[in-house]
Amino acid sequence: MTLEFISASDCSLLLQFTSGDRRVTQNWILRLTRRLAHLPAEGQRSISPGAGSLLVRFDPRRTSHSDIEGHLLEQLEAAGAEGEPVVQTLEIPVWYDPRVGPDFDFVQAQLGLSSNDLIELHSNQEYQVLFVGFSPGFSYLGRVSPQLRMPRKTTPRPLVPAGSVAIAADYTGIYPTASPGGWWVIGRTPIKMFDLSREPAILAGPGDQVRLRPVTEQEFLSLGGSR
Amino acid sequence: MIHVVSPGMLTTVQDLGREGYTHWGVSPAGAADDLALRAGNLLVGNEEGEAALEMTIVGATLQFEAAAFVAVTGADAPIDVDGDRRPPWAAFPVGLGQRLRIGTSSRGGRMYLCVAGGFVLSKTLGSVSTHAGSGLGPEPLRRGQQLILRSTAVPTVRIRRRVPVLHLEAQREFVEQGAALVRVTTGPQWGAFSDSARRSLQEETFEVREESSRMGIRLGGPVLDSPFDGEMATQGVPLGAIQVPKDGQPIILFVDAQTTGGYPVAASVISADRWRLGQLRPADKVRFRLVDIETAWLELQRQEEWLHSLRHA
Repeated sequence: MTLEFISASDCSLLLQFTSGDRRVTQNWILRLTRRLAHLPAEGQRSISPGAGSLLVRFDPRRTSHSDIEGHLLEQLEAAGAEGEPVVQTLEIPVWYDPRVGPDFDFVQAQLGLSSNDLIELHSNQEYQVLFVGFSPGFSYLGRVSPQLRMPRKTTPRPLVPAGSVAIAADYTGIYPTASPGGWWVIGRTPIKMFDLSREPAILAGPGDQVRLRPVTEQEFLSLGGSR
Repeated sequence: MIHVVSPGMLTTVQDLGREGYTHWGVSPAGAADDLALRAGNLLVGNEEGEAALEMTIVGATLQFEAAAFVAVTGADAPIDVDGDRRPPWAAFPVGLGQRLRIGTSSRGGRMYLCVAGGFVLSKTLGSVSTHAGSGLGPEPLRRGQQLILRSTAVPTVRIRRRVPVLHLEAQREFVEQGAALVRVTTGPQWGAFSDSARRSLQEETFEVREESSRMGIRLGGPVLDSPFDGEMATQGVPLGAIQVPKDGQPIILFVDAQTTGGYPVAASVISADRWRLGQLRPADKVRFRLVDIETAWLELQRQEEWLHSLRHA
């Protein structure tokens, strides 16, 4: 496992893992993210974990790249000493159906899978929130089965409803709010992924484990879902 | 209370932004020209991060139902109270029943109206800033809307502060060959770009495209070769990152931008020049100059000293 620190701007530092098993390095990034969210470095403004990287934005009037680097190294060591954190698995109900998953039929045909196989392959594994980006609460869950690999769409759909469950590359994600979207939508959850009236507002943050549970139309509707 | 007679082209409420939630995918938003916001607040005796109205090119017309002290900073736009001209970058009173009109900017992209005492607004994740993409913060201003002022008392202290023009120009002018000069440091993928791309970025003049917004300032002109064929691994991006998508036309990621990105970042705008991005408007010319981190910090320190001098003026 090799890591390097790169100046990303005069007020941010990028930690990048350049070698090592992808799962292992992402795990380190997520542990570091949790620690920094609770124990921010002096002058830290915000953090953004990515695939194999972590960006720390800071106030250059209060700290510097080298001080942030020192803090990150300390926190990595502390994370190593404390061992694997206990992570709860969150269960999210999903209704997989062409009526709420406009790309369901296309994806199934494209990948040469039956409806049941598609649902089975997508839901029968535990995912981890690798990072959150795109919009508030849009969690990148990884990694999907290689049999479900679809490239991102070349032309995004202008409006994807809130709760849409979609796949692209080796990620799956849930649109927290209605927005344009370039991923393949195969189902929908009635659960709100981001809700400002809740504390915390985000349901699945970096490092959290998620399991997707297929539900029927009736259950989807009874849980508050809408078509 | 302030009654919105005309909201202008796009007027939103902005403070210094929503820091600390990027790991939830929440963009910081906040004033596009942070320096103008901070200076305006100091002129009327507010905390520097108090929320203000950010107007885009075309200013607002506001009817005051209470007397207030205000300052308008940022882009050059005519200001009047019931038809009498008022100076920019200065604190002045607006009486009960008077109408404050901020016209169209002749230079620069955004004006800020700061009011002594600030507005009554509720915070979302620590900030009142409007982020259009996610719907966080209040909706843009509409005709007929009322804004509630926090302080209803008529100020007894006669604040008559203004920023001396020479002082202001020394701080805010930086033009080279008719283009706004924006200083940058190397970005995370700088080393991956070709020599010719790096040279173009430093030597050529770019033009701000019409599709630019608070999310991103899209540049036209020279096309830079992108160092990657496929998609890069998604990573966190800093404010002011100059991202180069496959078409080679750079985009400067701005206050409302997504918190992560998948395109290589050649360079990043220095903190002290971030306000310049907020003042760019379509068809403006931009040039970049590469500086080292120490220079960037020194420039920021100078700017902070200038702001500090306003506080104690």
